[in-house]
Amino acid sequence: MPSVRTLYRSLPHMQRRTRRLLVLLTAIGYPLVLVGYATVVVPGRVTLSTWAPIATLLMAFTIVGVIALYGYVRGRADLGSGRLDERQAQLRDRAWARSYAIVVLVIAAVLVAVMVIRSSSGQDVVLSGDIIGYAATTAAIYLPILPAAVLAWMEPDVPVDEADEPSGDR
Amino acid sequence: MTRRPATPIHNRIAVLRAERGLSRQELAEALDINYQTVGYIERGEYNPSLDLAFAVAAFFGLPIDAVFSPEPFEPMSVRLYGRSAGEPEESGAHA
Repeated sequence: MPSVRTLYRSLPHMQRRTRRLLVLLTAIGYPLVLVGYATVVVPGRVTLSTWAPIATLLMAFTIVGVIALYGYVRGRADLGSGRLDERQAQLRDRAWARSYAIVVLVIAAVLVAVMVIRSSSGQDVVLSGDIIGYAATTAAIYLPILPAAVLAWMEPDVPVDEADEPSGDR
Repeated sequence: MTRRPATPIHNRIAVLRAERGLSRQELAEALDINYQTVGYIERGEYNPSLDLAFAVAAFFGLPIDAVFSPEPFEPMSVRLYGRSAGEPEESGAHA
């Protein structure tokens, strides 16, 4: 059984397939908790005690994913990092640009969804404290990790003949 | 970064490194870059800036056009012996 330290040290060597799976799990974990709560618990289809372990598992996807992605990137997505060389800095800037595009797309999708719901049901969409709280939590979880997640998604695998060299951070 | 640059710049870094018995890590440390960046440049998957290209050339003590070129480099065997590998020698070569 590998120790936590061994696992953490192995994170920078993750293959792209694993990284992309982690990004997807991180991305769907918390939103599924919210959607599941709204669609099955609130209408009374499932009791809260039944939902709790499922929600915990889904939340674990996001938490473990966030930790693993930070462990993989190790500061290479930070704007203030001065220890990157020109290729790494270029890659980081592309990750930030794509993150910005993703945020814009998500906001636009939410606005469209709200307009569709309003026009189809004829009801006003009320921006309650709960909704603002969920939106703030979602932003607090995902905005900081987004550039690191995009970088982990984008970076190609290290060729086999370079795999025995040191890890990505200098 | 998996995409190749639109205008590939060919280079002899792998050959020069092998001639001097240098690892990517040693070259990277000398140039103050990440060792993976050396690999990306060698494979033509990343075009270095002018600054870095001049630094690489200076490190090997060669003019920049001996290290980087927009055209593929001629193999060393052709340059040294005037023929490609596997090509038969001319009959009068020993005369």
